[in-house]
Amino acid sequence: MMDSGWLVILPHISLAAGGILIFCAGAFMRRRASDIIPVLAFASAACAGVSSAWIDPGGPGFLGMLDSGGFSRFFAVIFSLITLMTLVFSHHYARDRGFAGDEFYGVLLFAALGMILVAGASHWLIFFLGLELLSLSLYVLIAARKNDPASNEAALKYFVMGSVAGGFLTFGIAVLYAVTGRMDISAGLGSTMTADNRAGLLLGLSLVMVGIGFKISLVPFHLWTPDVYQGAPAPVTAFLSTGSKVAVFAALLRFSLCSHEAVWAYMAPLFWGLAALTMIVGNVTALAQTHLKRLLAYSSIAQMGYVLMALLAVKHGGASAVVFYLAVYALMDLGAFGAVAVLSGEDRERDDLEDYRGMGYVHPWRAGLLAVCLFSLAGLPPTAGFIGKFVLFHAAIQAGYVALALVGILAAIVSVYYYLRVMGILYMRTGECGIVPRTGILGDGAGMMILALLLLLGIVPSPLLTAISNIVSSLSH
Amino acid sequence: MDSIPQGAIQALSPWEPGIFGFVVYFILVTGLMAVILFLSGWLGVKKKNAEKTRPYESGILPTGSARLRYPVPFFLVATFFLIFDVEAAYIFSWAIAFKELGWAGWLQITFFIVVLAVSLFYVWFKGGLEWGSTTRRK
Amino acid sequence: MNELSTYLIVAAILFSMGLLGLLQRRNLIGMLISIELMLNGASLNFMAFNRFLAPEPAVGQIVTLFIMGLAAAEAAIGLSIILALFRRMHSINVERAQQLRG
Repeated sequence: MMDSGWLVILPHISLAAGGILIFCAGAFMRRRASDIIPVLAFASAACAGVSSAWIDPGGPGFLGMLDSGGFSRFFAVIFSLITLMTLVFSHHYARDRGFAGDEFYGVLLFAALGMILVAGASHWLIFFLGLELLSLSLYVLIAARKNDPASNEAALKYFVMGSVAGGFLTFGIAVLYAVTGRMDISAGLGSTMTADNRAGLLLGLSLVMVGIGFKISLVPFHLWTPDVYQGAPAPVTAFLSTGSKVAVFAALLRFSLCSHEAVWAYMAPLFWGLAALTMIVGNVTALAQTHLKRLLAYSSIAQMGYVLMALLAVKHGGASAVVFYLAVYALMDLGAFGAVAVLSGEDRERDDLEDYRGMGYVHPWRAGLLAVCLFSLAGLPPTAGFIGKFVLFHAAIQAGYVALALVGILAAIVSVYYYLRVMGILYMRTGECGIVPRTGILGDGAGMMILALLLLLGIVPSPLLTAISNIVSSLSH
Repeated sequence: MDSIPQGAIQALSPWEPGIFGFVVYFILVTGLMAVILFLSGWLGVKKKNAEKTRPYESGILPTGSARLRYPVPFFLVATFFLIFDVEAAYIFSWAIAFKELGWAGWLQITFFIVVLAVSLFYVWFKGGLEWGSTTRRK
Repeated sequence: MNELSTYLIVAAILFSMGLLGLLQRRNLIGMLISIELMLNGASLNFMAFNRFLAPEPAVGQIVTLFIMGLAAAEAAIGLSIILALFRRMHSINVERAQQLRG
């Protein structure tokens, strides 16, 4: 147990040590800190990714509180990649706007640590701690531009909403602990439902679901999302919209997989309603948006609705579709917000849709990244988004949720309109958009990598799909 | 003694930890307060003048608004206190299980304290503890 | 009414007071206090369950300790955000923070 314990937390140690070292570097070696800090951050995120990809600890660690199976390792790799990409996108962005201090990089690593903990938690305490670590770090990251009122306001809104979610979650976990008597997630949720514990179990689960609903912004709890995404610095928005949502959704997938059939029978109708609402409201509200970041925010809400739809099929083999789409979604949103980051001028964020008029000709590559990401978000071939949507809807229909799938398909058709509208603005020659200075070879490289991955996964998705279904099948046993 | 019912003795007995004594005390105190307030309001002479409406009668004359803004360092120090104070709870909980946790626990809490110390130095070097001037080193 | 349900009722009241305060309050410090109330309700629940029901004796107490630490961290970060906002708006009324909408 002790041996595997250390191996299990290797990525965690790497991120935490990186964060602490960055803080130390920022405080104690002021001269060369600005050169060393990004390198340190990059190295520790890369270390975390490599160690979770190639080192198999062969068993859960930390007294069984931390899962180390393929599922959590897969997500750990995704989070490391998201962190690396965010680091790359924010490198120039943060330096030009004067918030590239040690606190930004250090807290970014801590947020990544929180994500890995959330996705890998097999104990409520670890889940709670990871989620709070993630949220607390995100509050700081969103407020990173100290002198920007929008950034402050976004941080405040996310703080208030996040704390409410945390409160609900904590209370729900307390009730679940009371009813099942255990803090172990799979043992607790896997226990059968009796007449005695039904009320408590359902109360606890619904409180936990309210908390999770806030975090992944399902529709009745989504109101903070557009404001926060608009106000936060664009690379942070990329990080927030991908990392935190994917992490919490991974945890939700784990809960659903290990929940007992009787419990699941109560949860499924709830998820049905939430998924339908989220898809409809997200897509319809996005139609009216005139700011790119707000539009992407509503689009990301709708995307979560699609994933939730496939989550319903989790007991019928839909889990691999969910995991695949989460990976693809991370790429798409990272690319879209990353493109906003690299297309933004130094003085302000390029936010209004009109500012993008004709951008496709001024900056073909960077606008191309945005265009491909939008294409993929809309679910059009030959991008990864198409395959992802296909497997999602396939899983939902296979599991017998035809009506919900129809709602989803209609919502997706509506969504094509606003994605194509942005595309039209990008490639209409009529506009006057200022030329944005280059933002470094790294940012362009990351953008190209996302673009290539999206197209590659759209054309040859099967290796990743097979790998994911292997991972998921090992989890459910 | 026989004439008093058993239940009353139990309720009045000071040795039984119950809520009865507290209720009696509460009623007595509230009643006394009410009587004193009522009597002093009823019997007292009511004459209003400028002297009497002051916050501190015959005291120092107040100047300015009472709602003055505290300087920012107060908040900073309060925040730091909050953090470092609560961390003590973990050290206490280690201390009560000191023997059971052994050397492994000692090592872990040492690491914890070292990280805390590093963060204290971080705050110090970043200028968070500087009082007075709001210019901070970068 | 047994003793456990007393604790649970107090915890539920604390939680609802926090939630209500959060919805009602327009003062940021008040909102912060309401959040703390919600977390304290949950902590009280953990302690009560731990004392009366749970098979493992220490788990609930440990969770409560962690909630305490997190609540402190949350309050610290919340205060810093409020401070940053205050420096710009000279008010801690939440309705003044209305720039982002759409």
